[in-house]
Amino acid sequence: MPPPYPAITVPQTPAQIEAALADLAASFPALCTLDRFPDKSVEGRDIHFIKIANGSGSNRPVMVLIGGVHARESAPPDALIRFAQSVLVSHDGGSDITFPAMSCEPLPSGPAVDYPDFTILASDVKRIIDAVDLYIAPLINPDGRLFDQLHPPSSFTGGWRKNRRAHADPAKIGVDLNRNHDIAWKFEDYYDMALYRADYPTGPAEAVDESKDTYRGPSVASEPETANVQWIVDTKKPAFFVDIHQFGRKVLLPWGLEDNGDDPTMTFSSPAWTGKRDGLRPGSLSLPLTGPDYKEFVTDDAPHFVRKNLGFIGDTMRDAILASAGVVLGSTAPDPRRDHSTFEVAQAAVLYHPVGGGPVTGTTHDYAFRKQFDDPARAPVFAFGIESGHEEEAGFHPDYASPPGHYAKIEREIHAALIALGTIAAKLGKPCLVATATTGTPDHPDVVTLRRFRDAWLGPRFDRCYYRISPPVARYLLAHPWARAAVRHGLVGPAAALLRTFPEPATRAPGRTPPERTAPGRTD
Amino acid sequence: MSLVQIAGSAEVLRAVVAMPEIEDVRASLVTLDDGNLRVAAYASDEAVEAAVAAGAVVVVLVSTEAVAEQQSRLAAVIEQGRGARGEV
Repeated sequence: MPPPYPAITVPQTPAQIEAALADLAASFPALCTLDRFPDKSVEGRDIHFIKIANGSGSNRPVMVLIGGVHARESAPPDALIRFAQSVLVSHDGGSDITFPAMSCEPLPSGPAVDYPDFTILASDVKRIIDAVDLYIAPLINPDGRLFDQLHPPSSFTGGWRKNRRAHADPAKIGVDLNRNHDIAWKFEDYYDMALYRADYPTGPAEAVDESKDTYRGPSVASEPETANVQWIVDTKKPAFFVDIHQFGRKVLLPWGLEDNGDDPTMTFSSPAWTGKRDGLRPGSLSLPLTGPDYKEFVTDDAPHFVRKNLGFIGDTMRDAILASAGVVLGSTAPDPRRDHSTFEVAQAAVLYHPVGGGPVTGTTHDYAFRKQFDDPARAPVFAFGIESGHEEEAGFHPDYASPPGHYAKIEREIHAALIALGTIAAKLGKPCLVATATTGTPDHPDVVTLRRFRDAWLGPRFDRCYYRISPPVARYLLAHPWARAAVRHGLVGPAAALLRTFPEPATRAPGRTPPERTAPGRTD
Repeated sequence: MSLVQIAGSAEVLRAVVAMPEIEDVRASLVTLDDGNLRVAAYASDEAVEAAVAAGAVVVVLVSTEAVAEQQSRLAAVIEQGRGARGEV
């Protein structure tokens, strides 16, 4: 179907979502390619995803967006399809993405909140698509989605959450894919269970009970849908990963396992901590009087400042959503749009504590996040979960009609957040860490010259080597001014000057036109 | 089954979300200005009554009847569309 694409007025079935992906690849062959996950769903359905990119090369940052992990969360797959349509139409025609002014009627009885029109500039979309390899897998769990759509819940649950792994007992069908990933899946090995249960008695029991919504599965990554998520993370190597869920207006930061900490000896992979991690919040009365309060390590070292930038990126997505709603950032004047559009940015492990839910294991975004700790050459990885929507927008099943405008509002918010994230990804690029450390800025002409040469001529093998070696070198240089000056004047400056004496093609591989790149964003 | 907001102290909410026939949506948990907490949940009418009796403040966002009607209607529309498109 050629654009313009009609608004989505009914939650799309898995077949419609598959058809929409194929249609985009056929309609925009220069920008969009269709690919299939290696594993079919447990009921035998093919699952596809698309790649959107203008340009190629091993140095382009990768952003992976997934949705539909939980079956009943109807909005994210549809919003991701709309997002893909929006950015492709925008890039192809140089047109802005426009959302008209709208009203949304929050439950239970309004009053309606008016939102102004919202525009995403074509230049912003172009900047992202020209610089970033964008992968969109809108529906990870098609079996569960179709079951939820055709079987309104008869009990007190809000719908079907898990996949459709067969079981002779209907009450035990399915696995929670977001507890099945290879990150502390066997939580009995990760936590000191006696300590953990002191504050969170129900969580572990539910995760091993097949009849519960959070059943973790019979073994790690047992489900084909889980294997697909792990495959796209492992093979596409995203620096930016987002799993969009529903509902609660949250931007969730890693870790889900534990509170974040700064002790590099406290890691999920450390055998010294097997079965000894408490999982408890600081100050918990259940913590032993002696011994450390375990916190899962997140580096905040140069050059990537991962912990700081997780918060920065989360805040940026939150602010982008507020701005899309017409909220004046920084103003404290009463504004119903702020009341109904503010996403809380919080670490996933902390979120559930007050009502007795503990940290969580086996989640998608913790799996993506762990990759930089398994392989430092993969750093940085910024992974997020977004809980789109709200109970006042009808929970798992928002109304797609306008009024009340529940789905339309969620779709706008997801667009705003993802464009903000993509803009950061486009600016980050793959930085020249050593050269940046010596000059103090990624925008210095010498750094830009070296980066262009690297992007044009040096391949993945160089990348792997460089990104393994350069972070500690950059840290050393940042800490030692004399070394920084020596490398700056003895290596970086002369090398850049030499490259500039060559004609322009010297920094451009034959037959390739490197995309226009903006200066990489600061990572400090 | 209705869609509700349940508010109260941490102690009250811990007790309420452990009740049968209440499925809290933990990602919806927020801290209110007065220090109390609020979480969304799907709950049977009996469970709502029990939550109120336990000291929680419950706001019904979508009633049991409305949830059932909306979801049944949506399922019918989706089923009809699948048939028209020949989806299997």
